[in-house]
Amino acid sequence: GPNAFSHEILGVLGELARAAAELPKWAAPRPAKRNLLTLRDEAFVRPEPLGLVLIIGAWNYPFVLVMQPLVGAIAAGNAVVVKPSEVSEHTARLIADLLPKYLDPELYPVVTGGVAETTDLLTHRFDHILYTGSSAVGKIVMAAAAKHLTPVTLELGGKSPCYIDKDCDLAVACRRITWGKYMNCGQTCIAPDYILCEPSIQAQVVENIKATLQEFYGNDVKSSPDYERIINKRHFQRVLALMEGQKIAHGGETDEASCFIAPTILTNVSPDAKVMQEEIFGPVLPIVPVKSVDEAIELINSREKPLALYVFSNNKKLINKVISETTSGGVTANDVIMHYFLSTLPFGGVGNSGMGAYHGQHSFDTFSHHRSCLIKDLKMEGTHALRYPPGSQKKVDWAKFFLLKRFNWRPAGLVALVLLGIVAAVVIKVSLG
Amino acid sequence: NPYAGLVSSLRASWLTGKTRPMGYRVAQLEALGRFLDEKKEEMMEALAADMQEPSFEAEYNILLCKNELNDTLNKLDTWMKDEHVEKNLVTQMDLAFIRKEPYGVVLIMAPWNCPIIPALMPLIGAIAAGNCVIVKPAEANKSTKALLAEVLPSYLDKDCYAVVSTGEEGTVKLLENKFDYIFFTGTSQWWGLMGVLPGPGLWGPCCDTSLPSSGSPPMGRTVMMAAAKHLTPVTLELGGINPCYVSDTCDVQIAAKRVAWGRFFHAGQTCVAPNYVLCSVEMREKLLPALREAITEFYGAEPKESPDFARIAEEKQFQRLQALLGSGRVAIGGQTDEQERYIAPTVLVDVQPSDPILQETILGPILPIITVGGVEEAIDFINARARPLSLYVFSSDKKVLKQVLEQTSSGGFCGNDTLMQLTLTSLPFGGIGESGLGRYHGHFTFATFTHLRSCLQRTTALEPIHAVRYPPYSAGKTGVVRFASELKRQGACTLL
Repeated sequence: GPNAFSHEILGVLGELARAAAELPKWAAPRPAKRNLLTLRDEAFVRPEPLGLVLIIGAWNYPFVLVMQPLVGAIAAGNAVVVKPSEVSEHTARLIADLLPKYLDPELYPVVTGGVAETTDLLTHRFDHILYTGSSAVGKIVMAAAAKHLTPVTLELGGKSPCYIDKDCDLAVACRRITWGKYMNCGQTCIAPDYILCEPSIQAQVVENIKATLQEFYGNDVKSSPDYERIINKRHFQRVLALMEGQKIAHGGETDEASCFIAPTILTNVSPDAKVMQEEIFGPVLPIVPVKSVDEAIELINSREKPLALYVFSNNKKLINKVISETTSGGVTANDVIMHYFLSTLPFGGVGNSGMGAYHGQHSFDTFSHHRSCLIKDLKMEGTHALRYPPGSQKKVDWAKFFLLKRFNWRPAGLVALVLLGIVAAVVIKVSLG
Repeated sequence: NPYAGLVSSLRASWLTGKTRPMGYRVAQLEALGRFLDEKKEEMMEALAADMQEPSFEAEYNILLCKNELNDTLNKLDTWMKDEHVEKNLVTQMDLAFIRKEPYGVVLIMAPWNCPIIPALMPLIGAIAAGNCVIVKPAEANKSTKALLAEVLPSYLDKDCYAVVSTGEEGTVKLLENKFDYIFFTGTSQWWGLMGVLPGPGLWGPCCDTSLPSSGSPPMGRTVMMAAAKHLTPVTLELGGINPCYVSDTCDVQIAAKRVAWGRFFHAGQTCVAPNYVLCSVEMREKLLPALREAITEFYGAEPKESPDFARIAEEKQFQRLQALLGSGRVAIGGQTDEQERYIAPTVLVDVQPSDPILQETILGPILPIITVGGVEEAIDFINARARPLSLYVFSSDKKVLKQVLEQTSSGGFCGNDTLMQLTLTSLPFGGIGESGLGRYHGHFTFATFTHLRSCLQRTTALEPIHAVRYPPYSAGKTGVVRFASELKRQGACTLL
């Protein structure tokens, strides 16, 4: 429905338009600053295709997670093997059927299949692999890539923390968190995984989220056309198990037949609880009370680096403190998810949440080889003579003059230096010739 | 795991945040600068002891490091700044920027052929980017390694920077630890004389552990596989079998000098040296005397007596190179002296594509010449092989340069010279495919050791505008969202 359009298709359309508009700029050779010795030469970086790229998609947003990278890979001039996730089988079949009708299947084949097919695919040599999925499989992909020295971009997951400061517009904060947490039934890699806040506001947070859930999905969530389901029974059981033994402040209803789990809030959750040990990837929101922002920061830093980090506060200094004293793939302050939608911001993880990034020009750069080029001519041999043996202290001193960066040259100084350099070159030619 | 203690103490220092402020990084970089200045003589002596490094080459190495250091110190504040990005309609009121963050504890591994630059240049960038660092110099260069291990740490904050000196077994153990970045310079090939196979702990049950029967697994791959276990990003600066095409239209004397300089600098033990020459039969006849003349000009009639010609770094490399002399026929040089690990500046001709000398990165003062019909045949020859680290073309015809550039792939490219693309800090230095992944030099070193963290700071005001994105969904809401975020293809409007 409209959900799929705005979350999946719109993003791809935007990416396509941007790539089409800016490709000439992205693909043009990029001039490099020259030094005194190379002033007469051409120095530039030439973006070139890497060759054959493999894109492995995930099941939670099965369309955009293969299409958006595909746009960048094509823009950079590569051939691409597209491997959509077999778990989202309908989308996989759609992509396999439709893509060859629009793109040359010799250059952009779609490969479908499960673990066995993917394992086999990974034994082959690619020139870049972009994988979206879990950290566990990410390690396997990177190990397979290592056999061929293939660079990788790994878009993985983690527990994205969300700190709510006492001093913030709690109603707006909770509405935005509700939107980001429960969209796609919590199955979003950058969903706020858990909340950190002071105990004094915990009850209010729960009330606000409850009210927002009512606004979004009505009295009977199960019958709302805008609320999704868990992808399959296996993940249903997994998320169900995470709720065991926890204090359910809201929700908790499930229906295995339809893989339905109601939007759920857990309160007074301990950092050692099972639900705090793995990425939830479901509509269950634990609230972990902390005494202060410092305690929140300490808790965040004691765990693996997350894909996204969220902080809600009216206090700019507090926001800056949280950003400065933690790390994560990306950050949105006073909202959730939104940094994903600005394509000038590179989207990716760090540590356990991934490596590399893409979106917009970052996709183009990821799928390109940036080839350094220096084109000289066979003249001005005099200046070059100073580097040839036999060595001498005089030559060392001249080399230092030409190469050593002592301080920042102002433009006028640079002109003077160029003139001096030309004079020097002539002098060297005479004195060493 | 003998290094677990060291790594965890460095990580503890990292978590205190002390390496992050600019003032701290500048102080450490300045201390590194003092090391380069105060210990210059000791470094030159160590290099001379290890491989009879000519003093000019040693000075040049140190000069390039100082260059990087000064460039970094001059620009660090700009490099560290948040980079504000162009916003879209939805984010007009927000702050959108990229924050430059250190990774944490990084490992730098340097190779036997070039002990200084691949150890210190990445170190400069890693410190500048705010990381804690372990440097592992190559085991083969005994004096240089000792200098780095014993003297360098006293200049830097020992809580945050360490130098680890160890052999192959120790290296394997070191790689079992979790690092936040690994920067490795070496080869994708590992000459099978080591005899140390990483145990199952390194390869893991998830990986196919079938190893080539001919000895140890390639080192670059070993490092990346170890990194995969911890999802550690890597830069691998590997060797390359670098081609050098000399076209018929060029000044032979000058081309010969530049090729000879590039090949015999540091006794050929640089990863970017031209590995082999491709030229026509006619050009070869002109090139040989020109090369002979250049070698004599550089090193005199007896290169062995020249103070400007280095030696091979270690015995097993000498043995390897001596064996390679069997390929083709010696046209110039060919003399060796095992005692001194001396191999004369040598040019081989009549080399076949299948000869051993063309199957690996030579890393020695031997230059094979292969004859080809013309530029197309040269391009085919190059493209039939793994993509090299550097590619060189000599021609006074710019069209030929362009043709080779556009029809081949390599880490970097230099027209009408060798090695010089490395001296421009504005050009990123790195390989592709078998010659490596990632890049450094200048700003790119800082960027290598930096995590780019995307930050969007929004306001909680103007909430009604955001209502369009919330459920319950409707066609109307979708329309507004589409209008606000859609980028239309330019030139795609229709005339009404």
